[in-house]
Amino acid sequence: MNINRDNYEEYFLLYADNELSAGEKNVVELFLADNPDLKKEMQMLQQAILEPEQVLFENKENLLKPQRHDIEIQQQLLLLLDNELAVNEKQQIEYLIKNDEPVKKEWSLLQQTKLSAADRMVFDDKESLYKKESGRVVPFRWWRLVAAAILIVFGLWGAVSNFNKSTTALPAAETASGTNKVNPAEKTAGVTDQNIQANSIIEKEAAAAVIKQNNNRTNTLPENKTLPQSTPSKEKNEMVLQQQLNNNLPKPVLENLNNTVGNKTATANVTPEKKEIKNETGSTDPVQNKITAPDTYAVNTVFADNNDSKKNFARFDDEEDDDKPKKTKIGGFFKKVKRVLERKANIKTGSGDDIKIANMSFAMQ
Amino acid sequence: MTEKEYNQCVTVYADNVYRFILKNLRHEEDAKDVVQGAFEKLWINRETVINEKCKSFLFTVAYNQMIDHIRKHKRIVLKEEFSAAAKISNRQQHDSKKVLQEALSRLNETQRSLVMLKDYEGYSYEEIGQITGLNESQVKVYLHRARLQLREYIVKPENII
Repeated sequence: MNINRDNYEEYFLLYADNELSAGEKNVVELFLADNPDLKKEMQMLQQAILEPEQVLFENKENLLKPQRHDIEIQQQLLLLLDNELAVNEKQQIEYLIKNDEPVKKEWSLLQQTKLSAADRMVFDDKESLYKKESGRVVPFRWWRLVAAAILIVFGLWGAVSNFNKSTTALPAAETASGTNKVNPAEKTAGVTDQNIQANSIIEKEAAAAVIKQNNNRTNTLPENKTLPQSTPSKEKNEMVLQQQLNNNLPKPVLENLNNTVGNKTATANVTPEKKEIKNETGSTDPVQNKITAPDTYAVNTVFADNNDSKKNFARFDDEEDDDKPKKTKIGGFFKKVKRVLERKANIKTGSGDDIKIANMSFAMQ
Repeated sequence: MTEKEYNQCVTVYADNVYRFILKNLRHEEDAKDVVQGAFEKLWINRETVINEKCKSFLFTVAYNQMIDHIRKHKRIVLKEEFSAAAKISNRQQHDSKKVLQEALSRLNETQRSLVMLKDYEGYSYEEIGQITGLNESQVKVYLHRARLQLREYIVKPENII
């Protein structure tokens, strides 16, 4: 080791750091004795060395991991605080709280974390929250819409089908008020507002005729005109005409009211076989042979052969008379309402001689 | 739910809902807006809400609206929290109630809501789960963590009474 004034710094640092051997330390100390001016520099280096100091780490227990047993107890205490324990568990932990000091301490701490329900706050603007219902609004939901649509459709269907029945089927349902309208025999010159409807539908097997007469016009038909009656003949099966009308005029308007026989008179069931008729009538169209009533006569009657009662062909068709007012749906509707009322009021048509309306009896004859 | 039942619900529960929201938001006007919104929703849905469930319905709606509000105004809430923390560090707390309220304000909104629903309203874990949209075990874990955080805050030397 060769220490001199050029390299002494390195040896001084090693000396201060206590990195030199005992012999080397002696060499450095001899060098310092020979060069006292460097002694101050050596002291400064030695002061730069930090002295170890005593430092204590507090709360070391926080770093310790709690034992499993403690965690479970704490869990139980928390559940007890939240009132989520079963009765037997509650009793166990309460026993532990009473007898175990650390558990008791922990419990008192946890109890301090519980908020008091008595800590009230008042919402001072409650008036703005109160409500009052302003009329009940029923929402029109889809199923209500569907139900309404179904009802409307069924209603329309029922009305239309009933209307069709009343116009096409047998006028058997034509009751009190309808009877006198139907009777063609009641064509009196002086009688007004009397309608006789005639409708004849001829099918292959059966036909129904409804006679309709509109007497809004003055009827100039000769009195006591009798329409030809034809009796149905099943044997020949040519034509069935049920027309039992008392055509002797004049007669009272209400003569045939509530008279089922009268109703029947308005019905002409014809069961002709068209081909046979045509053949027998000399291949002429019945329409061509029709005897047209006078203008004032609302009934069109067609006879295939007036002389042969077996081949009578009666046709009452109001459609052919253009002057005649057409039936309207409203008219049909009123007629239907009238019929329903009659049924509801137990007005017996044809069976009794009187009609009871509003607890009053009206003589029909 | 009838009109009468609704108005009774206002009388009985308006303060509770207001407390729940105000303690979370710490802003009176915002809390009032949330309460108004919750009751408005109850009124609109009065046909479907039965009277026995009106309290849970109110707290559920109010909680959700509050969370939405917090998300919208996150920055403002954070700023308020910093100022509150600064105040705490500079003074000695000697009131146990105040210490607890300070500790409560340091919890996040979910933990705070859970503690309040439990302590103020006395709901079970299951009911709290239904209100907050958490499952029962989540409620249990979050609530216990919150409780231990409160405990840690209370035992700090500067907060010891």
